[in-house]
Amino acid sequence: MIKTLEKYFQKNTEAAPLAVFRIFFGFMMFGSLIRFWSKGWIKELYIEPKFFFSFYGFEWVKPLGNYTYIIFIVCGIASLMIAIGYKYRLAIIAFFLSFTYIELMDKTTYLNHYYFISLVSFILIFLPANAYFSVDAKQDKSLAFQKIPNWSIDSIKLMLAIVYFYAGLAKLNSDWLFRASPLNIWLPVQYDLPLVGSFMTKKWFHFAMSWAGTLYDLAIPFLLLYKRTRLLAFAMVVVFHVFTRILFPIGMFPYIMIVSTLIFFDNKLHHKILQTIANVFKISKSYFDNSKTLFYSTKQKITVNILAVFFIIQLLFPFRYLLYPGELFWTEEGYRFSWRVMLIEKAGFTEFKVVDAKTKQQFYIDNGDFLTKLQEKQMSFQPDFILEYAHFLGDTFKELGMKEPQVFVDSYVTLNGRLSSQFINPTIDLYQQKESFKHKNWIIPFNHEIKIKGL
Amino acid sequence: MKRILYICLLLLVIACGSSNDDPGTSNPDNFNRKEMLTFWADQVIIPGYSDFTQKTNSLKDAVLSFTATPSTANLTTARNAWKEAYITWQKVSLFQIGKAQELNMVGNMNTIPTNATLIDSYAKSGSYNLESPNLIGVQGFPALDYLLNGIGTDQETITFYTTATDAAKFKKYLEDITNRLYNLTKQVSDDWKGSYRQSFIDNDGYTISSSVDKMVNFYVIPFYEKQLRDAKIANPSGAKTGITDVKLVEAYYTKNISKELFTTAMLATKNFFKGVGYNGNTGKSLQQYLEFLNRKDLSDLINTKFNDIDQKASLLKDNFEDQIQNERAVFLNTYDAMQALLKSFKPDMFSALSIKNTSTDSDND
Repeated sequence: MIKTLEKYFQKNTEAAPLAVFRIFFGFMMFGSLIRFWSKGWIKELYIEPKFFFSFYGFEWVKPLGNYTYIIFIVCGIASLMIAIGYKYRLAIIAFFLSFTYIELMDKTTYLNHYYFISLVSFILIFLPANAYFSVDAKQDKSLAFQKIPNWSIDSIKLMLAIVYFYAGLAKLNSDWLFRASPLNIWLPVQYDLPLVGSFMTKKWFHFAMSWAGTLYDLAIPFLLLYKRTRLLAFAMVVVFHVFTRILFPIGMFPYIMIVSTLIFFDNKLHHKILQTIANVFKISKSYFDNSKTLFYSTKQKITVNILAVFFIIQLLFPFRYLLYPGELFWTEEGYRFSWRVMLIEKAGFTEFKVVDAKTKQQFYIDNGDFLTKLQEKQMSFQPDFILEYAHFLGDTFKELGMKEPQVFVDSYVTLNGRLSSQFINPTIDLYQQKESFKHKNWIIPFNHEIKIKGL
Repeated sequence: MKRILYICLLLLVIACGSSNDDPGTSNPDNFNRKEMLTFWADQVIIPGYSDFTQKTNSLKDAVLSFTATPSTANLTTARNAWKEAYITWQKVSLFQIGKAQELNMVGNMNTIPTNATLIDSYAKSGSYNLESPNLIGVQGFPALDYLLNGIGTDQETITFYTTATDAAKFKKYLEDITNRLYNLTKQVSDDWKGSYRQSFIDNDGYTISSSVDKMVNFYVIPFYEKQLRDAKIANPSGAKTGITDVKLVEAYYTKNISKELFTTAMLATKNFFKGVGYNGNTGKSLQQYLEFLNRKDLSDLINTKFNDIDQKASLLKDNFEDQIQNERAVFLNTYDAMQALLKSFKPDMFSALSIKNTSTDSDND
């Protein structure tokens, strides 16, 4: 076993696939940031709101007013530097930090694919992605290698495989498989799509899509790994992601996934891609084909250990929900950071009542006074948002001179098309409740007659 | 390779075969949003605004007759015309999309309470710009309520507009706000009769900027929640704060039409949901949309809750001010019933119809 591992870590391969991945990753990130900026989202999501929802433990990460733009500029420059492979190590570290900072500023905008980008950029810090076809390799011969250790490319493949496979595992639940929910909610309104529109209202189609999606997610990593099925698998990747792009507003994610899966292909394709780029930009590709190999060294042993720990965490973290009682989709305790992608349709109605315990004076909050519509929407069905906002309200009215503010909430939530039911215990003063990793016992347990059974 | 293809195909067949297509529950032919939007435009909104334009026109004529000849008879005619127009407003106030939204019709027509002190000072000074957003509290129906019904007895009112010191100035102010009310209405009505109707109907998608999304968003939040639940019931009765304030009653100076205003608006809300047109004919609306999406359970529940509100509201009396002071529980019960409906609108109906109540069209995952 150990010998096999030893042997595996000694294996080398062409650096070209990783170079292609680096180039595409850099340019796609740059494009995503430009898109984000040009849509006015920096201002709308990070500058205009009066209040921001923090991840537990990261309350110190906040937007910096107009300086927030600087973080995006740093991130953008870093992604261009990654693409061309200039001062790569510095660039990828800057990218990882700035991108992750942006994602931590407000959890309202949490998306699994942003988390994916953060993780990939973290892995890339440790990989010799600039060894081939990069400015760094051109400028410094000692950095240039045509071959690199096999594990460096495999770690990207493993990350992609985890994303798909875990997204598939998450779909193994009764709502998804046997009620075809939430697709049976999301698809019918799209009855007017060209060509496929008439399927959208059909029950069999909801089931077919749910099952096909599950099988796709579970199988695709293996189909991509296996040489004989690779081309078919890639075709499936393209069809699947293009289709989801048509159906749902999921931004750049489909394109990023399509391009990322190219890394599963063998060297020939990547050399072709690089040759094309070389021709267009009149770069001498042959310079990089130096037959030099980057060997597995002590320094790299540390790197391998870091990545090993990283992947063990990645494999275990999505299962942390098992430590909590109650229905995961309802409490969302352990829901995020687990590749639960487009998995549930949930919406809430949540009104806050502030009571002065001394005078018994009470009033209701107009959430629009403090939150953007997007924040209100996210807040209204996620307990950790509700708690954080309750504290914000309590603090706000304390500052305004209320001696003993109490914050109560009237909250109703609907999950996957079930009629809404009460979500939070309305008699609990949330201002006295503290955020922690413990179970929130003020969430009213999920008690709908149609239960959810899942992994 | 081939073998894999067969397996994939087989799996797809199994997946499809495992569920029976249920014909009759969802047939794409029996609903489409364009039809719903056409019904809304042609059978609900445009007839509504036409009617409202006529009523505000009559109001304008009646007020101008009164200011020309301030007699008891003309005062009565003006008051009646005001009442008719105010009631009609309740039927159209939920259609705040397009021009109406641009002109802030709700604010200009019906900001409660009106500010009598400010009206007095503006009228006396003679300098005011009614188009200023700061002046929404001194115009519209509540301001007319004050100027027509809140001055005193008939005789006192006539004196106020004939021999009192500032009579001419107040006449001018009364005319100005009446004209503005008519002009605003005319603009909205003309816009609907012009190009807006078609663009409203053509925008039949399901995204944030679509007509359905905009209408439903307005219907539920600014209209049902803020204007119906809060402005008409919760605010004067203190259902949310525990503190009553009868000055916040709608038609405060007239006293006895508050219930009619409320029930008219409530009926318009219900009719809109059920697909009942302005002149009573039926068509496709939110209820039929929900049924099309296999959510009859939800549309039934919403209808039950509408009936419950009607039942609770039937105990309301014409004079809200008296009843709030003596029989406040009726208001609190009405409020609770309305709140119950809101809880079906807000998470359930939005979720079922895939209505995005966000301003940002941001990414999902």
